[in-house]
This record gives sequence, C-alpha cells and structure tokens, in this order.
Amino acid sequence: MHRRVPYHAGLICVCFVLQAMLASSPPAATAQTGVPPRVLSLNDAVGLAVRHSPQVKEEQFGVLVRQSQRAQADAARLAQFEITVVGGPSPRARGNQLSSPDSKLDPEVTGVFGRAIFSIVQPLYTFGKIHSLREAATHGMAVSQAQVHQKATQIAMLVRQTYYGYLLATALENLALEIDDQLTKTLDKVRRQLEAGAPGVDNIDLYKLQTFLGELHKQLNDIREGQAVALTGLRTLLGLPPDLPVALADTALEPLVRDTAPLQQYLDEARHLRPEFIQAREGVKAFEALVKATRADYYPIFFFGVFGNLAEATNRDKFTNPFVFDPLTDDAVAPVLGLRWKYDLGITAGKVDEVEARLGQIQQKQALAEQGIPFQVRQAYLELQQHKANIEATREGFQSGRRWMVAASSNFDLGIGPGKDVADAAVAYAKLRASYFQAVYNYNVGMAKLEHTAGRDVAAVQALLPAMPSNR
Amino acid sequence: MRIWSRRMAAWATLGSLLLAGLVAVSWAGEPLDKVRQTVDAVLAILDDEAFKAPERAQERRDKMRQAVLQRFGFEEMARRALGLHWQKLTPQERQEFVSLFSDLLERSYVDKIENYGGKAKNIRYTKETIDKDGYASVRSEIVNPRDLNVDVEYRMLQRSSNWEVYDVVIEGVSLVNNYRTQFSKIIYESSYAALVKQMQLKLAQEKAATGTKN
Repeated sequence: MHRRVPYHAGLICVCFVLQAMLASSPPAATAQTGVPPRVLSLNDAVGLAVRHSPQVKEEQFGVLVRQSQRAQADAARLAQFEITVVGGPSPRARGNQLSSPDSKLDPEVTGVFGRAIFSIVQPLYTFGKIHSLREAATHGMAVSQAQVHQKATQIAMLVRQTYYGYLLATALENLALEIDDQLTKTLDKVRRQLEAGAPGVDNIDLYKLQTFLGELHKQLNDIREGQAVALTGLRTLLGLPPDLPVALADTALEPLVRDTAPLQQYLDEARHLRPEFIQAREGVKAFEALVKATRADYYPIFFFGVFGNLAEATNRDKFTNPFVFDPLTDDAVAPVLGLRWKYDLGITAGKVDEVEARLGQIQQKQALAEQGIPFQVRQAYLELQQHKANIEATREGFQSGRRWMVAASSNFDLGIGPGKDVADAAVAYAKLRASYFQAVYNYNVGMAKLEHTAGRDVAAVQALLPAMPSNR
Repeated sequence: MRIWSRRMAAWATLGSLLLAGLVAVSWAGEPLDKVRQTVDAVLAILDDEAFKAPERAQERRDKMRQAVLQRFGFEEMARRALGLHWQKLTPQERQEFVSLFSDLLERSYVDKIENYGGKAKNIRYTKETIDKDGYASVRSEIVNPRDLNVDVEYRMLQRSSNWEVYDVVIEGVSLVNNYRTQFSKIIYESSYAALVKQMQLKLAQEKAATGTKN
C-alpha cells in the first residue's frame, strides 16, 4: 500500500522548486502613487547624511571655538588700549595749595568735571605665556578638526549599516514572497484535489499548509517592519522629509568586491589616519602648552606703556605746582616701562596642578588609543575573514539545498518521493539562503567597519563635509 | 602547370571552408530553436485567454501535451531512467511505464512553466553545444527578479533529423540520473509493481487537481 504523502510538506517543497523557477512580479516599490521616488546610491546617502548632520555641524562650531581662542592668543601679543571716562559734580576750589576760601569739609558744588584715564600697554616679555597659549589653541584646533572627522565617519558608518540593512530586509522579503507565492498555489491545488476527491489527500494537508502560511505571513510582516524602520532611519540620517518616496539604487544585496590588504597595513594606517589618534596626539601637545602657559603665571609680565589722565572742571582753579595733583583738573601723560606680577599663596599652584592633571588624563586617553585601536583593527580584520568564509560556506550550502529541492520535488512530482523530503529541502534552502544574505550583510558592514577602524574612510568624508559655518 | 596546381589548391581550400561554413550555418541553432519553439508554444497556450475557461481544461491539456511530446523523447528518458530494469520489462510493461512516466513528467514540466505566468521574456537561452555524434545541449536561464535565476539545460539527441530532449538538468541535477537512483531504490526495496502503483496514485491526484481525464 502506498504510503500517503504528507501534502503539507510535499506541496511546500513543490513551492520551493517552483519558487526558483518563478518569473515573479517586481518587489513592492517604495514610491507613493504618482510621485517618482528619489533614487539614492550608497555614496549619495553617505554624502547627504554627512552634509546635513547637525552633529557634524556642532563639531565644526567646536573648530570655530578653537579658532577664536587662537585669534585671542594672537591678539594678546599686540598693544591694548584702555580708557575710562567719568564725569560728575565738581566742588568749587579757588586759590592755591597755600590758601583757599573753600574747604573740603564744607564743599560747595557749583560745577561739573570730566575725566579720562587711559593706558596703552604693549607686552614685552611674558615668560612664554602668550606663545604657549597660541600653541595650545593651534593644537586644540587640530583636535577639534579630528573630532569633526570622527563624527562624520561615525555618521557614514551608520548610513552604511542602515543601507545594507535595508537591502538585507528586501532580500529576505523577496525570499519570503517566493515561498508565499508557491504555498498559495499549492494550497489552491490541494483544495482542488480535495474537491475532486483525489485519493491520498485529506483536510489535514490543507490545515497544515494554512498553518505554515500563517507563520510565513507573520515572518513577512516582521521583515517588512524591519524594512520600514531601515528606510525611516535612512530618511532621518539624510535629513529627508518623512513622506518623500525613496528607493535605493542597489536592488540586490551582493558582497563587496574589494581586495583585503594585509593586517599590518591597516594597523599602520590607523596610527596615521584614525581621528582618535590625532585627537590624542594633538590633545597632549595642547595641554603641554597649557601647562607652560599656566606656569608662566608664576612670573611677572614686562611691558611698555603710556598712561594718562585728562581732566577738566568748570569751577576749580588750576595751579602748576608739580608736587600737587588735582585729579579733577590736572592732565598727565607718561610713557613707562613696567612689570605686572601677581603673587598668591596657592591659587596659581592649584591651577598648574589642575592643568597637569588634565594633561595626565589626555595622556592616559592616548595610551588607551594605543592599546584599543589596534585591537579594534585586529578584531575587525578577523571578523571580516570569518564573514567571508561564511559567505562561501552558506553559498555552497544553499546551492546544495537548491539541488536537493530539485531532486526531491522531481521525485514528488512522479509520486516516488515523500513530500517531507521536499519540505526538508525547502526549509534547509530557505535557512541557508537567509544565512547567506546575513553573511553578505555582515561582510559588507564588516568591510566598512575595517576601513573605519583603519581610518581609511576619513579621506572620503573630508570631501563630503559641509562648508564651515559662519559665526555671523 | 605548377601555377595551375597552386590555384586549384587555393580554390579547393576556399571551397571546403565555404562548405564547412554552410554546414555550420545549417546546424548551428537548430536544437536551440527547437527548444525555444516548444517552450514558446506551451507558453502561448497557457497565456491564451480562450483556454482558461474550466470547460476547456481538457482541450488545453491536450494541446500542451501535443507541444511537449513533439520535443521530449519520453521513451528514451524512461529507458535511461529505469536503467537495467528496462531490460526486464515486457513490451506491454514498457509501453505502460512510458505512458505513465511521460504523463507525470509532462505535467510537472508544464506546471513549472506555467508559473512563469506566460512570460517568455523571462527565459534566456545562454549556450548551445552541438556534438558531431548527434548530441546537443541547450542551456537556458529562467530569470527571477526576486531570487536567483534558474539554470535549465536540455540534453538532446538527434533521431531522424529531429531533435529530442532525453534529459533535463536543473541546477546541475540531471532528472534522468535522479530518477534512475530513485526507481532503483523503490524496485529494490519493494518491487516494480509498487513503483508503478505509486506513480499511478500520483497521476490520479494530478488529474483530480486539474480536472482532466488524461
């Protein structure tokens, strides 16, 4: 007696064989009706994201901050002019230093005075303070610029992950739609067989197929949700309106064709190109300069200056005795050579200690970068090799799965093979095909990650950066 | 005299080259054309709105069978698939087996093509190889925008100036080799009669599904 074929499995596998041979309709487009979608390649997407990123612009303002600090240090070398002008009621003063009818104990305010006190100071020698401040600001600018690159490359990495994520979801959706299509046709066939009273077919086959179809629809919904999330993420990263239809220029998830250099090359490149290394190196130099600048506060500042006092009152007599000075009426201007020195019992020492401690922090960050970044590069390199091997393994697997499906479904078509074989083959194929897509996604993202950890993406994003913002 | 000999040799060479070219022209493309004609014919029937009415299902079935039978050498396929067991069958048993085998295989083939939705443009013919021993191979590719394209190779044999398909290789799997293994297994584990019974049950199910008598 012929063993009854479990139709659910058998018909599913028919689906899968037919799935491979289907001339299917194109996948659902993301475009809204009547509105052509904006087509974006990966490079387009990265460019848009970097140009429109508020985080990148924030870091660019950081560069402007450092730039203005350097401008201040530059200007500190130049002369500074200060003037104070006051005016007010003036008590009467008649006579001279020997005799006067007026008394300061009983003043009579009968007029007004005006007074201007000014100074022009040109620093001559500051024990390296101004030079060190300028140096610190210059290195600070380099740190900030590296932060801009770091943020831009992080944004670019995120865009790549999202872009490939969308392609992965699309590939999985297509796979699921193929299976869905075939299952639906098989279900229809089973119904017709049941209606016609075909031998060896019963309702259980129908129910099993419907159950499997339900599970597949659930998977399809999850995949589509992932797809929508990826697309929304892309729109947000790119600064596009939420209702703008978007389509990706790439329609299939394929492994990147790129040669992998030896590991040592990536390690060497990271040392020169990674923004974190640049930030650490320049940051140490900036704080070393700040330490020098702060230590200079222990010493006086030598300067050349012109100090002056110009005053006039409406009700006070002027006299020419050089030993007596009336601030409300007398004029005096004198060039001077001087020093300014502020001595405290620990404030300056505390400031020096603070800056030295910050230098220590930066030096530890540099040490961490020295350890951590090569580890990141090694890890990314090894992961990439693994993903590459997974692509080959899963490719061989799903190709064998396809051959298994062909053989099993051919046997099933002739009634000489159980449907379970076809179902097993179909499940194995679907799993390995999905694993293949996942491996390709991992490889592509892994390649982007390796180039990111080696700092190779910095040159690419530099060309995409928006123009420096203006303060005005 | 020497000049005349040289000229004759030159003309002979040129003539033989032309003849070879003509022969090549007359042979090149024939197996591929035959396969394409059959596939297009089946697709045309499937796509014909007039045949989609349920009451014309039998007529549609008959037309497709006719188109496929013109190209597929089912007896040759059945003989190769049964292998050594073919020798043990009586002429009547052979006839019965060929009929059963061809019916099921033809249904399977048409079923697969039907899923193309009548889109002949989705089939690309990629390579044709013709052997001087009267064998040929036509490679095609079924384009699938959703997943991988499917490689289908038709292995053909020339009989009385007619090219017949004796094996179909899908994704590297030869159907004849596959069936040979499976037939042998069933015959060894059960019997030839059990094999025929399984195939007859399957045919009954297929006929019920399509609402046809044959």
